[in-house]
Amino acid sequence: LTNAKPFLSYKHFPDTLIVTGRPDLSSVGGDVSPLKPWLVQRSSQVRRICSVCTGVFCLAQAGLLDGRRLTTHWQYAAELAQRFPTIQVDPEPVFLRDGNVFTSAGCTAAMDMALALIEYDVARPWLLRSHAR
Amino acid sequence: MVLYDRTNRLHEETRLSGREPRSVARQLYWRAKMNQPPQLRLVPSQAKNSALDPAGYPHRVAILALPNSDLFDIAGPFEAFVRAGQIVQQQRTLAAPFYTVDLLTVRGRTIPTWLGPAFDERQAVPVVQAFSRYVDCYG
Repeated sequence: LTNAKPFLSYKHFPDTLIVTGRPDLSSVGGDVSPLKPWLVQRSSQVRRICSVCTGVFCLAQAGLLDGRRLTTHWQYAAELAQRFPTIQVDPEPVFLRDGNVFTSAGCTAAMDMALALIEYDVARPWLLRSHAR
Repeated sequence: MVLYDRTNRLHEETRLSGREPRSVARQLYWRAKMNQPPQLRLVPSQAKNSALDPAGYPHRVAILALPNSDLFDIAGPFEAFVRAGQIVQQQRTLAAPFYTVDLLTVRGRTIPTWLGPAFDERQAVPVVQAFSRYVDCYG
């Protein structure tokens, strides 16, 4: 993996934005504050916004998940629900979709969510066109 | 039941259109043929924001990796989207991969991961070593 870019210098408009988290939740709050304005701005421009594992904390702190139903790694579900009471946390599913927000648990669950997004992009237009004829 | 409804509908369409009625069987044959799965024709998106053109391609995926993310949380979606983009490009003979995947960092160009390995833009291509025996692990 090469060609990583600092988010502030990223000028493109992504179709899908995925935020990955980190296990040490205690220090998450300090780091995401510079991300908030960027995330809020980009969330209105992307088709869907996704989180993996504790990346959901980052989106929640940016205020993008109020009233949403979502999931995260089961170890962090209780803390997420406690810190953000306006969010409906369901620790059971591998990944969850609520509108244009996709959230997943950690590790291999991220790949399951990615494959579901790919299926939606690739198979759904084909099925819709097939059905329309 | 479905065939009966469809036949009635075809009769009704023929009556309303005022055209010479063709045989219902022939019309059903053509309808069935038309319902064959079509080849999906994708066109390169002209929109600056690919999110506004879901039918076009490439779809741009941005993965924002916080420092000390789990390695697999980054690598899993990255691999899935890149590989899928290549497969769709190959299968549908597209001019470019179906997905463009960008990796974003919070600061700098290096993403340290929770277990140690870091993604670094400046990292050179690793030297490939050839082994004459089986390798039971890579370190």
